[in-house]
Parts: sequence; structure tokens; C-alpha cells
Amino acid sequence: MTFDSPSIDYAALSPIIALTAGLVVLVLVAVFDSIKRFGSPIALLTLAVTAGCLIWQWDTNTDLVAGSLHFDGITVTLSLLCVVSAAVAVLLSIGDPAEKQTGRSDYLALLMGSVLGMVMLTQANNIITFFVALELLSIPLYALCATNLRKRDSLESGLKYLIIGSVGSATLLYGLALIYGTSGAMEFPQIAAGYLGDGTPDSINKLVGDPLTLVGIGMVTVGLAFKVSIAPFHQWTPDVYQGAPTPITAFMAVATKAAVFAIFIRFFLVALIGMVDGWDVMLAALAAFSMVVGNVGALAQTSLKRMLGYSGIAQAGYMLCGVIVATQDGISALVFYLAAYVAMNLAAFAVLVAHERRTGFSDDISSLRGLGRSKPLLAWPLTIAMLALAGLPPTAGFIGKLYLIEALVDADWTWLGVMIAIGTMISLVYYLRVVAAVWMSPEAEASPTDEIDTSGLPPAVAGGSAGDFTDGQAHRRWYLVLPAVIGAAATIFFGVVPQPLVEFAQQAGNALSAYIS
Amino acid sequence: MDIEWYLVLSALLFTIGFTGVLIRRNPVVILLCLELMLSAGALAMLAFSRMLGDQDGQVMVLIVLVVAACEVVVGLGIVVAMFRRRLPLDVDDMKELKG
Amino acid sequence: MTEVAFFVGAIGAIGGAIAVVAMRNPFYSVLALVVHLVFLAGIFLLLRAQFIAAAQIVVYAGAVMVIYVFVAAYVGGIEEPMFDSSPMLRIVGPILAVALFVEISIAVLGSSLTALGTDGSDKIQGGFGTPEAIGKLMLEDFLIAFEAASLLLLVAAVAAIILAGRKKAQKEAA
Repeated sequence: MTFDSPSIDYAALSPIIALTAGLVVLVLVAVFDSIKRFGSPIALLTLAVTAGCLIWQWDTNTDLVAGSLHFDGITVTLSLLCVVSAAVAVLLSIGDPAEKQTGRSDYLALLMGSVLGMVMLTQANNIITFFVALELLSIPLYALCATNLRKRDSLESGLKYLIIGSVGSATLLYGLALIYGTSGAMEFPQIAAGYLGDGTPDSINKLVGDPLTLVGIGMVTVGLAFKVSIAPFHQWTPDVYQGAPTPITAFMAVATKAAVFAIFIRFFLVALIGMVDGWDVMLAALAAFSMVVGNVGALAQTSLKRMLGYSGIAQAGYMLCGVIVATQDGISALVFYLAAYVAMNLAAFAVLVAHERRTGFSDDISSLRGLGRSKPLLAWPLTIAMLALAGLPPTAGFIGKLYLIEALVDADWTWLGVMIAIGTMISLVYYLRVVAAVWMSPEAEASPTDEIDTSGLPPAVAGGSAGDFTDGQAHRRWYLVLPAVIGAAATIFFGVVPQPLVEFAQQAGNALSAYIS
Repeated sequence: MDIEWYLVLSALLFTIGFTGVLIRRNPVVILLCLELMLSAGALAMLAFSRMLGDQDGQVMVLIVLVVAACEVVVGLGIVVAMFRRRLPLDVDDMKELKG
Repeated sequence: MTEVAFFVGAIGAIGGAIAVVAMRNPFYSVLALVVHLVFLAGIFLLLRAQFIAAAQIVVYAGAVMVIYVFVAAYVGGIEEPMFDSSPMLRIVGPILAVALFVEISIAVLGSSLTALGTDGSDKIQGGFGTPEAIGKLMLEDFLIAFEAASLLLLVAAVAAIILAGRKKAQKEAA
């Protein structure tokens, strides 16, 4: 019994190998108490090596390992975004109560596992790899949300995320089965070929309009929509974002979107390119609905984490427009916007972590008052992040939205561009409310001091960790302030000089030049 | 036996599982219903695999078994952690996060 | 002959599934799922998936269900009343599920794929569904998915240890 092992391009596989090595090392380190504290440096080293390998393979565009993976510009750009988000999450986790309770290296090992899933998902080129990578991304996240074991919210959020995420995965699986059955192939290019039948318009129409195919596409969309929180499959997002430990919320909010949009692009624009007329209307409806639900929902929120959750729903709607247009410009706009989104969101979350840890209060927006006067190093990044999320110049958020609207108009989807503009205007209300709170002077009795009276802390401010783990000097910790400052600086820099980021994004857009215009 | 029958059976099992996830309140039972949904997807995969004469579907189902096992392990871990802290195991009572 | 086997298997699987959803005692639900899985393995055999059927019994009904049994015994769980979920869900949920079933069935029955009406492809070789054939595929075509699945198992094990580990381990870490 012999078999031909597939030819393996180790160079292009190096990011995955680096992450796997890091994961295994972290699991081993977790066993020995004496070296447990080296977890964070090891994790950061792993991520740095992975990023290095990705940049080293910048121009590669090949199939790997017998067609299971396809390494190209989309892979490199979106994987880099995931790796950067993970590095910031590692920094934000230093000293986090969740991390302390579970043992630093175990926690970081789970984080590495999730990043590995993301990097694999951005390269997935067949249905099996798609499903495995998505689960490898999600399952550690379910556990990580629950790691703040002493807090009820954290465990609840982990369970809720697991149940709802798994319903999404099961729906996705069924949809993938239907697509496999109707097209007859597993690899994405072969699926597209399968839907062409024998090339005659008759057979194409028969396969493309087949109700089984349509149900399959619908179910796949539902499954992916659960993951990236597109309305009406967004119900879990505010609750889970609020209950999970804040570094994990930060990681989830940006990195899952980056990875899942990579597979969105690859699946819909490579495998399902033949029926673009069928699914683009469906996706457009979902995108419009997300923009409305996300923006309107955020208006009523008093908790900053929930508000960022709802805003994430709206932003996912904007990003989906990049997939709908099915052009290279659309993909470039999407990747640019994702990169800007990573920078602005991570800055906001870094400030939020520092604020939570310093005061022990949770993420209530009114507790941010007085930040501008007392802690400018935290206030300015938060302000810039909020303005960038709202899409005001001269931030990268503004340029990103501009590119998205441009791509939409060029592809005759003007009404979606109008919806983005309307959504932006509504979002100004809640983003500016945060900015106003930051620069307003604190109320006399409500301003938090560095010593907390834990007995009187109201449990109504959900998500707060009263007592044990507050860190009075949190606003001076380099690992919290650095991500905030760099994120804000990047947002402004790429808002003024967008060219480097545009070239970065075009690396992704050009990757699919063989398939779309 | 026509392949259609297997697909209709898998659809029925999928919806029974889905109903269970919506209706039941005990997290352990909800996880069981999730297993039902995943097995239904696996059955559909195998039916198509037989229809096409292609064994790729069977490999996928093996992977699905692994994935389902991992999800169960993490889910039950969370349930045990909640039980340890004497938290009520009733999904409808998890209202603390609704707001 | 296959028709009989199919109907026996189908009725067992559906019965087991309904029992999982309908039984009030969570322990009985776990046992109902075991019954369901055994009948489902029978159906897998009809689809020429011998290895999968055996793996299902050994891994799923054997190992995973044992975990469930232990946790159900440990946690106990509420013996909840049958129709006590929020009234809206009680009505909307089943309606949604029935709608989904009808939709998929219509899609299946109305599909133009002729192969659906047959007994399956004629082009299968003798080794269809055997461990040898599946192993060959896993090592040749799906190597990366195979490795990723093993990493997934590692990560799940680490997660389980973190979540359900003893308090002593947590105190050490703090």
C-alpha cells in the first residue's frame, strides 16, 4: 500500500509552521511553574516570526499542499492584520484578571490556536480546510470568553457564544454539504468549474438556478453571518462582547472579522463567482440591514463595550459591500477598511482596558468623564479612535469609507453607498457622545478615585471587576498605552498619507485577478 | 434507496435539532441538540458522497466528528465551571447580559 | 431489503432525535442521543460508509457520549417542565424549524439534479468507504486538514483543562 505524499512548499507554509511551533511551546511551558511567566514574550516572539514569514512570502501566489490552501495577497494582508491584533491582545492581557486565573501560558496557547485558525482560514482553498480552520478559530475563542472564571458574565458569555456559534457552524456545514453535492467538487476553483457544467448556457442556468444550490448558498451565508455578526444574526454580539474579558473582546472584534471576510472573499468570488447575480442582492440586503440595526442599536447603549459591539455590526455591513461589488477595487477597499478598523478599534479597546483596570468601574460611558483632563495619554487615542470610526477626516476611517463608496458607485451599487453615508451620519451621534464624555469635567461625587471601596460597588454596572485586580497605575503601563498610542497614530498617519496602506490593500485586490475584473 | 430519501431524513434531523436548541433550557440538552444538527449535516455529506462516488465527503465527515467532539468538550467544560460556582444552569436565567 | 433497513434506521434515528428534544430528564436525553447515533450508524452503512459508521460508534457514541453521561450525572440539571420556555419562542421556534424543513425538502425534491433520483453513482470502486481508501485520501489530498484537526484536539484539551481544572491549579496561577 503506497501513497504519493503531496509536495510541500515549506517556505509558503512557514507562517502556519511558526504558529504551530509557538502553540506547542506555550502548552509545554504551561506545565512548569518556574517558566510560566515567559508566556507573553514567547507569544510575542511567535507572532513576530509569523509576521516575518508572511512578509517574506509577500509575492507568493500558489496552491499549497495539494490544493487545500492557496497562498496569495489576500492571505498575506489579512493574516498580517490578524497577527497584529493578536499581538495587541497579548499585550493587553498582561496582568488581566482572566489571564491570572487560568495561568498565563494556557491562555496564550488558546490565543495562538485561534490565530492559527485565522491564518489557515485566509488561505483555505477547499471546503474541508474552510470548515476546520473556522472551527480552529472559534473554539479557542469560546473558551477564552469564559476564562474570567470568577465572573458570572464571562462564563455566560462563553456559553452563549459557543451555542450560537455552533448553530452557525452546523448551518454552515449543511450548506457546504449542499454545495458539494450540487457542484461535485471540494476545491473552490473546481466548484466554480462544476457549476459551469459543460459550458452551454443551458446547463449553466440549470445548475445555477437549482433550488438546492440556492439553499446551500443561503445556509453558508447564514453560517458566516453568525461569525461576523451581520444582522439579523447579530443577537449574540453585544452580550458576548460585554461579558468577555476586554482583551478578548478586542481580539474578537477585529481579528474574526478580518479572517472571516477573507473566506467570504475567497468563497464567494472564486467558488461561487458563477452565480454572482443570485447572491449579491441577498448580501446587499443583509449589509443594509446590518447598517441600520447596528447604528440604531448603538444609539441606546450606555456601556462602551456594547456600543462597540453594535458599531461592529454596522461596520461589518459596510465591509460586506466590498464583497458584493465583486471587483478588485471592492476587495482593495475592503482590506483597506479592515486595516483601518484594526487600528482604530484596538486603540479604543486599549484605552478601555487601561480605564477598567485603573478604576475598577466597567465600561460605562459616563465613567469616562474627566479622562481628558486627568489622563491625556489615554484620552487622545480614544478620541481619535472614535472620530476615525465615525469616518471623519483626516483619519484612515474617512479614507476607508471613501474607497468603499467609490467601489460601490463604480459597480452600480449607488444605493448601498448612500446607505453607508446615512449610517455614518447616524453613527456620529454615538461616537461623539463618547468624545464629549471624555472631555467633559467629572461630576463631583461620581468621579472614581484610585482606592476602591469594594463593598459599595454597584453590581448594576455589569462587566466590572470589583476589587481584586485593579491596578492603580494602569494608565502608565507601557503594554496598555503603547497599543493605544500606536493605533491612534496609525489612524491619523494613514488618513493623511494613505498611499502605503492603499498599496497594501491592492496586494489583496490583485490576488484574484484571474477570476474577477 | 434513492438519495433523496437520505437528504430529506437529514433535513428532518437538522430541524429537530434546531427546535431543540430553541426550546430547551438546560445547557447540556442544548449541546445534545447541537450534536443532532451536526450529525444531520454529516448525513447529508455522506449522501452526496455516495451520489457522486467521491470519497472526499467521507473524509469531511471524519473531520466533522472531530470538530463536534471538540465543541462538546469545551461546552461541557464551561457548564462544569458554571456548576462549580453554583451558578444556575438555566439558559433563560442568563439575563444578566441582556440590556 | 435496503428499503426495510432504511426505514428501520430512519425511524430509530428520528425517534431518538425527538426523544432528545422531548425528554424532561437530561440524563434520558443523553441516552436517547446514544440510541440515535447507533441507528444513524446503521444508515451510514447503507451509504457505503463503513469506516465512518465504525468511527461514529467508537468515537462518538463511545467516547463523547461517555463524557456527556459523566457531566449529566455530575451536574444533574433541572428537570424542567416541558413547555416553559418564553412563550414567543415556544411558538416561533417550531414554526421556524418546520418552515426550514419544508424549504429544504422542496429544494431536494424539486432539484433538477438527476443523480438524486438514483441509488448513487455506479462508478464506485471496490474500496469505497474502506479505511484504506480514506487513509490514502487523508495523507495525499487532505493532509493539512488532518493536521489542523489534531491541533484542534490539542487546543480543546487545553481549554477543557483551563475551564474545569481544580481550584488548586487556579490558586497557583494567581
